Amino acid sequence: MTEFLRALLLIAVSVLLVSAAYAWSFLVRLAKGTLVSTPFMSGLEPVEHAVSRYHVRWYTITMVFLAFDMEMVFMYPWAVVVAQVGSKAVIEMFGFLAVLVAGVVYAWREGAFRWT
Amino acid sequence: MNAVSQGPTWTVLLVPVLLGVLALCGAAFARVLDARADGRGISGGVLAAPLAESGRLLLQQRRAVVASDRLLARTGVVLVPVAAVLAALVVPLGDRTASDLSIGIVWFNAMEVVTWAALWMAGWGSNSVWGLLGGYRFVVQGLSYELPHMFALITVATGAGSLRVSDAVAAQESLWFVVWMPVAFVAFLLSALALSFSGPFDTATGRDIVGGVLAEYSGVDRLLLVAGRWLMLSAAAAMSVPLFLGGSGGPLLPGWLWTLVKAVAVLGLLVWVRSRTATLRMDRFAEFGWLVLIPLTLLQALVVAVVVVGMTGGM
Amino acid sequence: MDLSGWMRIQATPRPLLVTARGGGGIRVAAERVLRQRGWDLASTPAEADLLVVCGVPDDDALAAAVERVWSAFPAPRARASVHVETDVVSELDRARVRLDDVEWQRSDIAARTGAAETARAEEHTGEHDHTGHTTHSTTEPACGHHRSSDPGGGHSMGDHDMGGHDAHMMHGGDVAGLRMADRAPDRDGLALDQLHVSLGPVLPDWPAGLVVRVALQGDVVQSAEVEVIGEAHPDGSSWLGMPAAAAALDSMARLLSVCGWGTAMRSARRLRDELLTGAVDDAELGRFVGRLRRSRTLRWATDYVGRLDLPHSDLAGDATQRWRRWLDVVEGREAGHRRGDHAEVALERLPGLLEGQELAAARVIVASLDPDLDSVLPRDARDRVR
Repeated sequence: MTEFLRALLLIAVSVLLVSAAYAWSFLVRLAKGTLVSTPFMSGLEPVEHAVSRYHVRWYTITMVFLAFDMEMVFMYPWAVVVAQVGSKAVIEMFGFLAVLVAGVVYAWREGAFRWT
Repeated sequence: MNAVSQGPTWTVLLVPVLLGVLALCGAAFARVLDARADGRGISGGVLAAPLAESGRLLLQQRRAVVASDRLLARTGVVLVPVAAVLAALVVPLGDRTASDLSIGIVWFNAMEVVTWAALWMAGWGSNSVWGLLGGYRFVVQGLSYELPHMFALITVATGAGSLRVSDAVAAQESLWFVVWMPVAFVAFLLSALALSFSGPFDTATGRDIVGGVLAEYSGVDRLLLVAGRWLMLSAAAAMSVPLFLGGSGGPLLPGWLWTLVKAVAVLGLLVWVRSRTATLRMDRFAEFGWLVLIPLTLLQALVVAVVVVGMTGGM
Repeated sequence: MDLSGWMRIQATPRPLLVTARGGGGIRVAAERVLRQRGWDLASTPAEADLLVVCGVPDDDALAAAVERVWSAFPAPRARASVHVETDVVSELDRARVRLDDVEWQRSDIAARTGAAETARAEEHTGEHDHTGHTTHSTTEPACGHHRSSDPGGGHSMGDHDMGGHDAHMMHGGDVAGLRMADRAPDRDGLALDQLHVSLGPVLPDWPAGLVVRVALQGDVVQSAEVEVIGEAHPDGSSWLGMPAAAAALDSMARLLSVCGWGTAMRSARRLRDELLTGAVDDAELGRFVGRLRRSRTLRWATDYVGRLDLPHSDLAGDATQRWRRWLDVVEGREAGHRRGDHAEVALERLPGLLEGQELAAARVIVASLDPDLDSVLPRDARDRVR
């Protein structure tokens, strides 16, 4: 339990340090206020706001990634017990990973990793 | 070599201090390489340049773009250095660690992933095309380096049979993991550069998009982003010591000094790689990451799993 | 001395370079001085505290762009205008003194805050006058056309936020005086937001005088319009008289910077300057060229990018072939950098090359063509000559 309390303590310490940086900067800088400016557009006026909806072209990679990421959730505890469970655990885990890798190869053939 | 144990509570306060010093060393070394390329002499001014630049940024006015999402942006900015410091929590110095979390390896992984969100928030929140593109680039970079990174961590956990960093150090008493897990080590080093968006993996802050996520930040906000990047690179370099380089193990010198020597050496290597490479464009790296790095790190994990099972079965 | 004063003295300034057409030689001279002093170049006004204008912005568009960029500088700030190469050192020194001059900086901040308050007051009265306003969007301060002519403050809003993101509602599609992005079909036929972004005139590692207006969807360039601003210098570009090898290294440095290899960029600029003074170490130059040729990461960034089928031209091939040819020029194995009507052909081909490219690739394309626009005449003028 003390381990996690220390993690909480470090969160507090690092937030404190960041606040100290802000406070220090406020004390020493000449211009206290924030300069509000138009975004840098190579010296010309921006035409519209930058926040916009556009195609995430690596969307398919995200899908493949999610499949692997869920698998990771199982692999962390697996790493702890693999020595006790023995070869059965290795075969099951890497059999499953082989299926995922087959999926990666399929996605590659479909051009998911090339998007330009 | 003594087993790693948890130090007194005040050791938590050492984490940001030591990490900060390590980050300053890394930044100073980068300045030295820059100065050499510039044909300038290496002087005290060059070594102190990171500090002087921090001072300049503290004195600079803060800045925001019209109608930017300031809460989101500032949250992202603050999270970058905070995540880096938190990631370093589980790194032992010598045979003492600030917190010996039972899931220390997962903790490092989780804190590092916070950077994804943080950079995206800082980029999107600044309401600038450049920030938007930088954030967008960093997310796809994450998708490409994260899995090899996680497989490298899992390989270590498999070898140690535990997610506790102190167990990983103990398991390397006779043989460092880097010797029989070289692929995982290289993948970890690559991801160290990638998760701190530096070196060949700096597309998110690339000069071709005028600094990307950094483009609209000035003053202390910029300082936190830039410092956060160095802190994260240093945290990853320091973490490679207990994971692959036998922790504090080594002859003659005291354990804590060995930890520092190894961490500085890894950081130096990373900074040097940074100076010898052009930026990897993510539309080209993604394919390499998925088709080369992932299968290789998986094979590495398989080899380690087979060895671990074989050794237990033989006993 | 107080702490902030001491911190200020320790810091090295971050200059943002702006180059007008015909100012290439001044830029090279300025880069040399900045490199020797260890003043790293900034990418944006947010990062910078020193605005260095190389050459004369003898054109309204560029002059307005310089003022707009200047107004986006956070305090403290200073500017230097260099009109002749010999003035570089004195202008930079003068700007440095101004940067550290607390009194000047204070009055600058006060002036900017004052200008912002006046503008705010104007805006308020304006809103009371025409409650059912229809022409409001054209006079919104964030569009700032009337204020960019204001010499002191530009259109900065000083300490006054136009309201946080939550404070202003959409009115007539405008937020803080600026439109939201509008939709247009993307290359797959999906209707998605389109952003109109201008590359140049004030952009690091960008040819002086070039403005490329692109429509972006995400990071893909959908269409590009090319324009050259500023006065032409038909009787001689600033590159005349510079050895071809030095000019090629200058182009190479720019490409390296765009490709994110800062250390090699620094070496390229240093070797360029050493070539110009005749103090270059040939062995070192050879090692540097060899390192670039062997670099996998650099080739990865430039291979298959911006391919042009123009036999017997400097521009033939992809970006990699073009920079390898520059290295041949550096080594003296090929004569002449940017031969013939290099710039005209590059400008003509540019829009076609950029369309459909990712923005990073688009930057590499422009850097790998690196047209010298100093002596390019406007299109109608060229037609008249013919």
